[in-house]
Amino acid sequence: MPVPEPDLIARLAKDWYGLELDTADAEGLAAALAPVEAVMRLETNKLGFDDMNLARFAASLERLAREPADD
Amino acid sequence: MTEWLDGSLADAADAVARGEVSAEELTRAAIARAESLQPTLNTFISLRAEQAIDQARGVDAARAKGATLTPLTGVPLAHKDMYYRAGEVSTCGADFLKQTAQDDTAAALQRLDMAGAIDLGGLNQTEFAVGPLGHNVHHGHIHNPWNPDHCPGGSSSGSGAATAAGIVFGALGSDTGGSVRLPAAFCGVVGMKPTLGRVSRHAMMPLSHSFDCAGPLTRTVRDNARMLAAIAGHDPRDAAASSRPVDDYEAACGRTVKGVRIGIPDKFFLADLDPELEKALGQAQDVLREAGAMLVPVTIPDPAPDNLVWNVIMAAEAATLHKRWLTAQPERYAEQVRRRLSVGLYLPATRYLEATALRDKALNRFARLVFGQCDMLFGATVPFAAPGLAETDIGADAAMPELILRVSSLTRPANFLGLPAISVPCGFNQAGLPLAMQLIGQPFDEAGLYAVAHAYEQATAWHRRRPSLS
Repeated sequence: MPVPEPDLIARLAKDWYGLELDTADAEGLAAALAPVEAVMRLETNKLGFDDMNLARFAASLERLAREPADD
Repeated sequence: MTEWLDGSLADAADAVARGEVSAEELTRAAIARAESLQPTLNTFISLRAEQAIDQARGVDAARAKGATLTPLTGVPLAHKDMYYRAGEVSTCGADFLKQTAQDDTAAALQRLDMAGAIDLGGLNQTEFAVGPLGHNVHHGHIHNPWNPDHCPGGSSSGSGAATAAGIVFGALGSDTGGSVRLPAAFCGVVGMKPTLGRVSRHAMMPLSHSFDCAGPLTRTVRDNARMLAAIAGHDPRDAAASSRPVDDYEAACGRTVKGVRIGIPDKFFLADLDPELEKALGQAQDVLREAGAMLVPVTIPDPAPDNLVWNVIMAAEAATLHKRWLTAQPERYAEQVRRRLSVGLYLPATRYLEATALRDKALNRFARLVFGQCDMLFGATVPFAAPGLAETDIGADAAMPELILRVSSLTRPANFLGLPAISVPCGFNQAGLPLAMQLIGQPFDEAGLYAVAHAYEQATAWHRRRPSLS
């Protein structure tokens, strides 16, 4: 997925939300999204179907409280 | 009466219970101090003096009739102005909500009411709990009691400043990326972010439901334990609230820390710190070692990528909540706040779902690697002491966005992982500004954090210092 350029963000803002972004806003949003996108590309390669269970995180907190992990 | 205000919450509550001081006397003294310091610190958005005095008289009357006394009997508190109270306005630090009375009361406030606490009103905060420093263009910037030219930390800025200044004995803040611990660190008080699900968020302003936590700020560790005990516990109105029993946090204060393994991380939490803070944290480690704790070097997974994944989730959830206003009335937000909230409008849904899925993997990896080696992790809360308010204001410096990210870099990991974390004062720099350490614990081990924090506090005197305010 490409990192959105400021002009794309400005177009999305107008088409999706009816917002007219100035250059500084569009550039600021692009700058905020760029590092996020870089990490997400690296981190999400290993995700599988099972990982999409949103209740799993709360269950992990409960389980790890009772049985602290060991090596 | 002012000597009571400068003392501990636990001592004041116990004194009211014994009849040594009345709730009304304490409350009137707190109101007088709040009013006298408002021009200097700007801690309150709404000081509800008459209601507080009525509430205090009710407590005194109940005590006179022999009512069972509760742990926070007659203690004046005040809370971040995003805990709703039915019939009252909660501005959430914003322009939008100045006229909107709430129709429900926050679960945390209900529990504090039941514990006998007096509520002085809504404390100033950064707009919609966005912003780690303490600026607010709508209600005025909040000032640090140790030096009013400096930031109090955010977003629970008034909670930190009012507690440090002795206006109140404690205050609720909220912590999505560090917003309890940052003002605690900058203002020299104790701040606890509990495990996700330990305290109900019902009728508390949402920012990012995956991370939002209610937490107390107080001047001592024991006070914090007492306040958390009052608000913790299951609530069917918050789907994330845990049904685990609540530990006896106050009893943990005084528990031996002999043999407790405190992990000293090999990276991140002790890296790139201000030299004076680095020295103070080294001395804090010595104190903990002398108290009997085992300090063990620990290899940790790098939290830096996780901080960016946190940003995906927070941005998407916050933008979803704010989309209506961001698109219809964007000019009513401060520029920095609008930009931060708008990021989520341009994130694909797939990225949000991927980020939430990564969180469980990260928690299990962290628990296996870190808590296999130690019981809790030691580090800094913030890499430096409170910066100046003017030098960090909008447009003051081109490097400001980077500094803002650095401020919360060490607090966000505990939010991403859902873990409890406490910020404890550990000294002052040469300019007289507070320094702080952070302990990150295993899920639902708030008691373990209190035990170690209290042992440290008892061996030092930082918590006895008070800012000199006229």
